[in-house]
Amino acid sequence: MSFNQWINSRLPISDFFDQHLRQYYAPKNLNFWYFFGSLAILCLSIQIISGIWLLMYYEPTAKTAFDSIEFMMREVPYGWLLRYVHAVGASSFFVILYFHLYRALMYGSYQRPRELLWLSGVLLLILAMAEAYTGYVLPWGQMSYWAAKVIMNIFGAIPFIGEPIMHLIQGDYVVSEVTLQRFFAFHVVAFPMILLAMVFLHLVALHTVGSNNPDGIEIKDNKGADGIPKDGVPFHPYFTIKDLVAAAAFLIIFFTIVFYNPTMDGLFLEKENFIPANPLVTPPEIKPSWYLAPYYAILRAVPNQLLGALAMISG
Amino acid sequence: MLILRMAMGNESVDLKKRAFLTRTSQALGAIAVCGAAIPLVQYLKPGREAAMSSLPVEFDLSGLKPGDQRTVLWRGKPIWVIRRTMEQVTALNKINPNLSDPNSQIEQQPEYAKNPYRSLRPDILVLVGLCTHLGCAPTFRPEPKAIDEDWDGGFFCSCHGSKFDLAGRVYKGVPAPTNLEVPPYYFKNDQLLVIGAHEA
Repeated sequence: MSFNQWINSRLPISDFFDQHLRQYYAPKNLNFWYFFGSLAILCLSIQIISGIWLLMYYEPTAKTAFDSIEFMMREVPYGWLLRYVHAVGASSFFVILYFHLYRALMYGSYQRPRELLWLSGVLLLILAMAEAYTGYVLPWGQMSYWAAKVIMNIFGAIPFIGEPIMHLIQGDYVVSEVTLQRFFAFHVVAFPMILLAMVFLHLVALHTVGSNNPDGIEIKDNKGADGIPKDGVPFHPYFTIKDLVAAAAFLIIFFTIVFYNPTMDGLFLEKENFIPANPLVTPPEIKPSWYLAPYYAILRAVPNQLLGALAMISG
Repeated sequence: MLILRMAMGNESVDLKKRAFLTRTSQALGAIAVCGAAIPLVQYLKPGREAAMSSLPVEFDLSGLKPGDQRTVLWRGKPIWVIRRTMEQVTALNKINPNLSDPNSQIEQQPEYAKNPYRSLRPDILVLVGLCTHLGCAPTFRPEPKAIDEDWDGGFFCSCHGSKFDLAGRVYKGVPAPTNLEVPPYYFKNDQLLVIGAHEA
């Protein structure tokens, strides 16, 4: 009995991979739009690894948060690289997610039988936003502080119970170190765990209903005598190889940005966020990260606090 | 779809070429992973701030009476400075058969401390106060018979029971393998000790 058999009869690792990679059939006509799912997993992995490394020097207090990050970037070997990878990684994650979402809309991948695949994806997007927002607060720069304040006041706009809820979330009557520390707990432990669990469910749903494709053909409706969809090819090696090419292309673009323009001229990291948080002065130009901009635009367009917040949430 | 047709049993599959491509991509992938590991590993190294804390520290001996022990922090480690009494110094000269390295053969001290006192001056003892077994800080127990019937005074490690004499020499039959370490040090003048550097 080989070593693999010994393992597999106790813990079916290779059976699992066979079932979900070698014998998982994906439509043979998937085009480049189908890269973005695996790229999102790549982005998530980059965020988790760089995040663990950042945690080794980051100190979540109002006094030390900003300085600990500056220390990491100036004194710790490759600290600048890991910090910029994490910051650019956040924005890239949203670029990938929005392409992924656009693909689903374009090819109708939200339709029967993929409704729950779509809904779990929407939840994942909201979770990713919550993760990004709490993460943006952690450097405790000017933009961190005031963005935290604006979002907290959106909760405050809920009628009657708004103010107590806002105080409950921020743990203080204003945005303060208490808020910073609980956002730290959310960003580092709570949200990533939920996010990973949701990714798992998203993949379970995907492997149950199978990928949609540009022609909208259900490959499971046309199976050969061996029970294999005639219009499907095994995910491994065909799509793993294809996705690897996409990953290589993505990483080239990603690291070009990391090395040559990590703040993306203020789009990924606003220049105000290189100034420590000051509760007395709001920066003259305050805007959210680009990936939240459409929702923020809705909020600003409606001349009523509550209606604006409602329109933004429904958007 | 060319690849697909080839995989479906066409005779013209060039397996050698395919194996070559597989191995080349695996090799390049391995190089990429190693490259990505460099910053992640470098990041873990002690930084410049840690290197700064290794600068020498000074200690004023004027308040240290015979029999006294003081602890100084150097490189994050406890450094003991002890002024031994005349009796304790003379007792070190007769070689105790229970010591495992009485002549300090193993490199645990600078050359100038390789003598029966394991120190520059017979009365002043400077030691790194960490057990050579697993790094606990032993306790200074100068009183005879404090630990057992044969105890002549020395250092006792409460973690795993290692015993050392008043020159930091390890006893036989205890877990610690070597004598306690003597850090580099010198006397700037009669009363000022510099720990962490040899005399220039």
